Amino acid sequence: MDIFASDILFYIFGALAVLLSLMVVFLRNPVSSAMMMALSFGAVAAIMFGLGAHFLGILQILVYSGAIMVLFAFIIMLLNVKEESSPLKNRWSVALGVLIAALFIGQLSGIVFTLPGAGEQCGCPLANAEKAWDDLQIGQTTEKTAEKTVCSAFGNVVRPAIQLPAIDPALSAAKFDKTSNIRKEIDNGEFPDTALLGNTLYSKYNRALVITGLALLVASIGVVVLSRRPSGK
Amino acid sequence: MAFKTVKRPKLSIGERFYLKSVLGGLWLTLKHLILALLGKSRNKKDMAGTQIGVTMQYPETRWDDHLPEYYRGYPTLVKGEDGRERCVSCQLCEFICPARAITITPGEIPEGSSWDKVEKAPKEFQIDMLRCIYCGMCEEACPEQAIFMSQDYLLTPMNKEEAIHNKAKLYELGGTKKGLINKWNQYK
Amino acid sequence: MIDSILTFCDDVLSNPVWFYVITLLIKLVICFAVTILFIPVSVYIERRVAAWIQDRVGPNRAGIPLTIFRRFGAKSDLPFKKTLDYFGLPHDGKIANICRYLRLDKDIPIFGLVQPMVDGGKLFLKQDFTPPFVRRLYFWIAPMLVLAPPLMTAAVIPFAGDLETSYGNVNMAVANLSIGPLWVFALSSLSVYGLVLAGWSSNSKFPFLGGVRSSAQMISYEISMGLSIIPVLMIYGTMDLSNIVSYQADNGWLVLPLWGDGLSAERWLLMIPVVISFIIFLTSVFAEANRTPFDMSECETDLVGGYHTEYSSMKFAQFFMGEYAAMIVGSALVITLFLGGWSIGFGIDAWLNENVANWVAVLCQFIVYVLKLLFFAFFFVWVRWTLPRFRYDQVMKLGWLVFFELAVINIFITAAILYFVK
Repeated sequence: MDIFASDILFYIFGALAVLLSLMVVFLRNPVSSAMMMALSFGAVAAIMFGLGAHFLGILQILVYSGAIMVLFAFIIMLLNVKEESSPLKNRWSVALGVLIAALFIGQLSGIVFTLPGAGEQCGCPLANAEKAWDDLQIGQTTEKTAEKTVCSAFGNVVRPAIQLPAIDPALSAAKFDKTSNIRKEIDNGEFPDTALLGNTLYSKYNRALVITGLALLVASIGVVVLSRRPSGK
Repeated sequence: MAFKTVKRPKLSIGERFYLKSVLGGLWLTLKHLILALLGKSRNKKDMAGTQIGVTMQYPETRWDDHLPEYYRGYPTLVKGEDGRERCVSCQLCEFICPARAITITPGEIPEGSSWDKVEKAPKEFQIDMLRCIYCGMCEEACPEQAIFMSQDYLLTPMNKEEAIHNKAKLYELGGTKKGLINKWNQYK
Repeated sequence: MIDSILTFCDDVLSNPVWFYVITLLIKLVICFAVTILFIPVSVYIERRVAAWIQDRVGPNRAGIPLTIFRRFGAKSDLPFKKTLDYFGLPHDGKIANICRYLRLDKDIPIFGLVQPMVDGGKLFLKQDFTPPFVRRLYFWIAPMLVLAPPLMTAAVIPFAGDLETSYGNVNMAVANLSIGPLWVFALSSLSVYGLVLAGWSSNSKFPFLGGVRSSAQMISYEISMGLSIIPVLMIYGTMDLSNIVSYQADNGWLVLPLWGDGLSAERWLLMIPVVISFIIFLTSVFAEANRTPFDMSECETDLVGGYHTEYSSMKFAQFFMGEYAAMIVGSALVITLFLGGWSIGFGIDAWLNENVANWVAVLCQFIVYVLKLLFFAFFFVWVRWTLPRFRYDQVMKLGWLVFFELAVINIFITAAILYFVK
């Protein structure tokens, strides 16, 4: 089995993410917990980078570590929460927590095992991801050799594990217009993750996206209405 | 009513974007900068500016001629025309000094001296220049016209001991002053 | 011997992986050198321009001391005359006059450029005092968290055009990510942690208020900053900063479409949303870098010193280096997105590519890029001495009630123009 730098990095960041998430729970100081959480978001983002999903990874940092955790830290500091005394006071709450966690793990593993390419016997998760790209129908892999993808862009050279599937113009033409940016980037041998994501979101999941957006809008207006004092007081 | 309500000016839509005033402000500072670079700042001559802007290049160019009469440099002790040290060590300056910079050790004028009716003179007179704030209160308080604020301001001690002016140093700095009221002449 | 070394180098560079690693390291060094060197340079520019605007001269006293020549003569006297005596030269001869004209008779001032070095040295040598009441770990980490993100963000910004070598093309950005602007936003949003932690760990009132203010302000302006570049990215159709810059080199800068395709009616119609985006983005860069008129977190009149009140020595300096680095990276992003990045403009890039050797063109482009950065360093100071500081509620109002709405409307305007005008 070939071992690539990106595989090693995957396991390092995976271990880090798990370790940091555990520290979020076990550290007593709330501010430290918040910091560890931000760091674990960073580790997850690093894994996403390794998978070639630059856009998702950067969103992870931008939205979660950069905005949401800052607000968390902000509130923790503002309220000056002291160290937690005893975390395991109520047995019922512990049981409920365990139940929710178990449900979540069950759902997650269900999704993981039904992912495209999950059934294949492959050592590295990155290889599975590569398989998953085939299902995105960017193009069809005819033969998987290193000679085909090296040299066009540097990205392919540093990440030999994530060799892009060779592009069959006839197949990609069926999906994307010849003048579109996505098509151009694919022809260049790049993986246009941002454009593909946008394309999927705005075509396949358009309705769900709009509904989510509206729900968020209503929620933010609701927050403004609730937090504003009634006039005249 | 004791106060007057000032109405805020009503701004037009163009003014409310502030873009024009921001750009105007930027243009104003840029103009000022260019004038300073060209050496055409206002008041340059009055301020004895030599290079860019109105800045006087201090150690090279000094403004000693322009010092006003009431300028307060470091305090000094003076001698009269008759050569007598005018301080009688009444310690008023020591008491009034807000920074407590002055320390006087009073001493007596021995019998038989020509000025023995003055009775007292300082044995030691110290002004700690690290504490002095150049307020000039000692000069105001002195009933004998003995301590004066000089016009000099250049004072660069190399160590702490040098910064404490003793009696000899103070008289050296002050020297002899003419035209003072001679309180202790032989007729009194 | 030399031949064998050359063949070895040739072999190493022919291997694409080694070639990539070596060029990457060189690019890293250049990128960091530019960013880090720009910190003292912008400090110098800040002091100098501030002085000019206020009718002063600026830093002019610190110089290379001639007192090191004192051993040629007596200690207390002027070193210049003693040095002349030592070499047996007359006091008002030709050489002495030339030296006087070059201001060599005193310390050599070099336009006061020694000042930033002396400042840095001073900050290194000052006592590093940690107050006893602080939360020590976070107190130590906070300055690093302020300085590190801006330095990392500089990695995605291309500082010259592609360099063609015999082994392959080199892209002149350290990391040519396909998500350039987002990388900058994401990492610069992390520097909030530094400010918040500094404020909190100092465990005293005013730093805490400073940290709270800065975090609220930076999160608010991140929104309008992110929304304001969406129209720009819509126009470019890509987030790859290298592609964005080469597009601008061929078709006119975004706010100055005067050549190539930039002369089309569509581009000129697009100037309306572009100018709105430009103003919002530029203002947000000021707010993100905590510069006047948005330096609410270190507003002396309200907050003593803001989040760095309890800091001293190099830890304090790190906050300032972080502020300046954020300023530099922010202006680099403005240049890349709106003002053509490294492109010289007016069709000169295309002319250079045809008529001059590739490396000369790349060098010219790099110099132009640095010049643009220098202009922005000046611009930041210029704005600082023009606009008064905002009140805190005005800052929040501007961010949430003006820029946010304007940026959202701007997206729709751009979309409409792109859809209907073709």
